[in-house]
Amino acid sequence: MTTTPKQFLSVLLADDDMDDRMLFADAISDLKLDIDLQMVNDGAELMNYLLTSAMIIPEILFLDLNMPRKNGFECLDEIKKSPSLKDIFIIIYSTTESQKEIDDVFNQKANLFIKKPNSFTELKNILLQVFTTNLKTKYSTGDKEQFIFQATPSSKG
Amino acid sequence: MAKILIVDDREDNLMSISSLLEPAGYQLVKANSGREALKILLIEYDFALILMDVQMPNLSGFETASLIYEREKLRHIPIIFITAHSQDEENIFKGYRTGAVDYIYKPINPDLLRAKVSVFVELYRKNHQLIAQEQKLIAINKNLENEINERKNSEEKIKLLNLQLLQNIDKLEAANKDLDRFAFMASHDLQEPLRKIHVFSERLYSEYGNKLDEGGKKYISRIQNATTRLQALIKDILTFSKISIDKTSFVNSSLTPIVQDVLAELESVIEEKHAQVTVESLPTLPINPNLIRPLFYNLIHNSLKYSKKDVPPVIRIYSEAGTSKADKKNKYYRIFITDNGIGFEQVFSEQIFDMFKRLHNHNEYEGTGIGLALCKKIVEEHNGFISARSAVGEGSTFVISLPVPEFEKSTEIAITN
Repeated sequence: MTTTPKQFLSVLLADDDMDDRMLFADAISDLKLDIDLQMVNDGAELMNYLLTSAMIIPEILFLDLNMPRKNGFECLDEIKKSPSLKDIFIIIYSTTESQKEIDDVFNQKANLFIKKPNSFTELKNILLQVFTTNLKTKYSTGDKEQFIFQATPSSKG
Repeated sequence: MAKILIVDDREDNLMSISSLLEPAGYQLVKANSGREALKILLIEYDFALILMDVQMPNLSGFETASLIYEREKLRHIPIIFITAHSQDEENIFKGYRTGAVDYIYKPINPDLLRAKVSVFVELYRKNHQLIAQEQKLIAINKNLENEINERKNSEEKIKLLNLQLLQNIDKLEAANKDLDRFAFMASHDLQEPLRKIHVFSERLYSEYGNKLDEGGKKYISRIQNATTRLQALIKDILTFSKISIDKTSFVNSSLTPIVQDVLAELESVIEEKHAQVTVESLPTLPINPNLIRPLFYNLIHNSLKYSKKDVPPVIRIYSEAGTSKADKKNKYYRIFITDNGIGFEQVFSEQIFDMFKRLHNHNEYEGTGIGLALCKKIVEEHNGFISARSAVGEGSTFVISLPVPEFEKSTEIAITN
């Protein structure tokens, strides 16, 4: 696995959960990667941000599913229909265990599914692996086997 | 006794006719004019026959007869006219009307009179019998109708009760589903804050652990243990509640690869405990693999968990085909999971399948008390049943009986290895 992070990565997180946003930001800052992280609080804000106020279109979008006003499924649908947004690499970031919901977002052409982990260490491990992988080559859309992200256990030290 | 009305204006004629007929046992009523005859017939009309002289003053026999026949109730009474030997007289009455009439000519031949009277009386009797029979038939008919109505009523009642029963079943099923949905939603929403407790206590430990003494660190690890246990519990409730929510269709699958999958998943525990697990031939049945997998997982996991200390677990999984005693056509398979573990008292063999029922403190053996309740629910979703045999220190045997559905019975069920 390549360990060289890409120079500067723009990442957007859409999550209504304040704790999860904080943990996510802390994890990225702990990892000391050259990442520009933007965060929005729900789906409506996400679409508003992407369509009107974003300075640059993010390379990776972490999308929570269960959000007020506009949920992740609706956002996914709108993004995939937009010519300017459809190429964003979308990672579904959710606690859902429903196979149906996972199937749905796979069919809606999300690129990867990450289940919100149970520990901060695990989160950092997952994010490190995600940001140090050439996502577009490894997770080419359409391979269901690889859709649910499996982190390799973190090596101590 | 048949009643006969004799009408004649001459007393001697009345007497002689009476004396001719009396020995036959008829009840004779005499009238000496047409008017009197009509008077009698106002009160009594159960005569079998009227014998009527034609030539009477005032009202002649024919005139009397036609007045009699104007009354509906009397129309059925036959009349024998007693007349002088003249065909003309017969024709006269035809001018009035025709009824059940006959003629006897003077001078009266006693044998002929007796014969004619007896014929009419016999006719009357037969008629009466017929009427009586008809009435009986009508009564029987009415009874039948009543019975049919009653039956219809009770059938309708049964239908209504059936409908109510079906509605109640529907309501119950809906309530059950609601309950499961509630459990699903509740446990789903409970998971979120729990995950936070877990994440933040872990962060507290990893980032501030060095500022805490041993006691403080112990508390954090206790928080984490409790959280982990609660998470396991909620996960099990979720799985349990999802059984009836997700009604996926059943597919014909062999149980063998499912059990092999489960064993692969439990590989580390099997190795750690030096367990010896043998899987013999298992049938192919229409099942929901997503449910059967956790069923075997729980049972095999239990066998590994409740093993004797220092005795490596020996687990055997095998099946037997059988037919039900009541109906030989009802085939089923019994799948046995036996172990040499610590076992339990046979009195608990039913309770262990109850939700949250545990025989051990969770410090001795960890667990949520849902595993076997889940197993029972899964087996019941497959229209089967599950039972357990055990004794303390003697190991346990869990038996899953799964029916072979109707359409499968014509073809022989393949046993795969």
